Amino acid sequence: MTASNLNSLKTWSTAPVLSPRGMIVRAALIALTFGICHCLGLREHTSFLSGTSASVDTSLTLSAVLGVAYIATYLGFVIVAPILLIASGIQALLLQRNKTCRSDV
Amino acid sequence: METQLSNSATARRADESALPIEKTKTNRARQLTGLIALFIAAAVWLPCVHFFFSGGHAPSERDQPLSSFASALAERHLALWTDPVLKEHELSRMRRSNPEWDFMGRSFLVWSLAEMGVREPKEKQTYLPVMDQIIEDTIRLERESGIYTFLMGYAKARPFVKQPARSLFVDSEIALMLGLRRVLSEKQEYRQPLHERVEVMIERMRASKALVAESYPDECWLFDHAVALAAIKVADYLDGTDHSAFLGEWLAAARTNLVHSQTGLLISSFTTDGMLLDGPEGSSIWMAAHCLRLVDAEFAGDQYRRARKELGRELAGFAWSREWPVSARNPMDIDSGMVIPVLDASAGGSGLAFVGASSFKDHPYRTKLQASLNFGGFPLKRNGCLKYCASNQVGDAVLLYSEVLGPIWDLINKKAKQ
Repeated sequence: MTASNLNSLKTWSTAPVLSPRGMIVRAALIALTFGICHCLGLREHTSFLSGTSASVDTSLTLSAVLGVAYIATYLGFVIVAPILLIASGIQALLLQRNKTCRSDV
Repeated sequence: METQLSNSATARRADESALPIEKTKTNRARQLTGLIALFIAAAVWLPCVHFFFSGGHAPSERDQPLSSFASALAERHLALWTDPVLKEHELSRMRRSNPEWDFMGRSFLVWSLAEMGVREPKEKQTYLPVMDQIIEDTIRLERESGIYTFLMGYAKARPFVKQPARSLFVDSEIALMLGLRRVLSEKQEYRQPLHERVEVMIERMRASKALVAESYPDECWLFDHAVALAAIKVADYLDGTDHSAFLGEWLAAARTNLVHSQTGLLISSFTTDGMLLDGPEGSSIWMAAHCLRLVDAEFAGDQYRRARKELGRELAGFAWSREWPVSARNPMDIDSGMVIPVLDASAGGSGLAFVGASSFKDHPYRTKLQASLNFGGFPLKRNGCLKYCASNQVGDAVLLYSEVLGPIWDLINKKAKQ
């Protein structure tokens, strides 16, 4: 990895939450976490919602813990991540407009 | 010269002290625009989420073959009853939580297969052996282990008021299984067992002033009575008997004893004297309204409309059912399933709301319920089989039934009108 790549990675990873880059990074992290939970097969554990464990060998408590983890990341992926992505675009536009107004002054 | 140096130093100091102020201003502007952007984004995204979950299929009309959704759900259930390992796994994990679910999963599947057979006569020969296998296995279990094998543990806590102990829960669902199987294709061996169940249910209901029979000791359930009435009506259709006088009496008694004063909905559980135990519940009323369509379509329609008003809820393209009306709340229990706070969305009530919405052809509500299911039910499709991870076998069987119900009720109502 070149120094400029490292620099760019650092800029993205240290970007504040309420900034266009920061929001994109958070959305990506949420998507990544959800992807991992999904690939680990945690979706099956949402069966705790119907009072049933995912399998006979799994306790309902364990299913509930894993199921809650899956649901939290799922809601993050479906609700929070898209909002962050849309917001990053809107904020970028707002900031650019602010800059233009200032330079006009 | 000295003055010049002093001026430039002052200017530099002023610049340096202005930098943090400028930075703070920029940060504040960034945070403010960030918050505004998040607010706008949420306002844009949240009302659009349902578009990504409402697609898939339209509920199939009663004269049409199965939708791909119903076929995929049915595929998994048929696999459960043809693969002993899969069946053992699925039934064991349900029985561990509630033995009633094992029983109800069987009932809803047999009822679904009967409706599917009427829709797709070519597939009858696939469905009939599975229906017979389930019916015979269920009756065998009841005979060998007694009614308690399908009841929750508290059934043994005290004796049934009416002896010998029998549960309308078990009798009504088995009777409707036998009846619908015979509607699909006559089977003489099931004629007598259906007749006996019908007579025993009526005899036990008649033993109470309120015309109600126990499912658990001194505990009677609307759900089971509605299924029992439907089974009686199916038996009349099949065997030419006429229990219309009894059905009329039952409805009159229910209007007097079992209607909740604030909502006009039928209450969900009561004692053998007809005293209220639980008020109206989503996990009872949707199915009850569907079954009552066979007995008194007008009364059933009124109950459905009231249930829609009191229990049906919609928001941003999604819909669900409350378990209790606002005026008659109860604590969460095994029937309500998980109740989501704030929204008061009940898993049990919402699942059965599919049955009500399909039965009364309430397509807008049905479509929004489907969006909620796709969003929060966590569907999983493998090898052509569909299941909802958040559900279980009985939940998926209820969904399948809601998707295919209709043709048999139409047949029976058509004959009754003639």
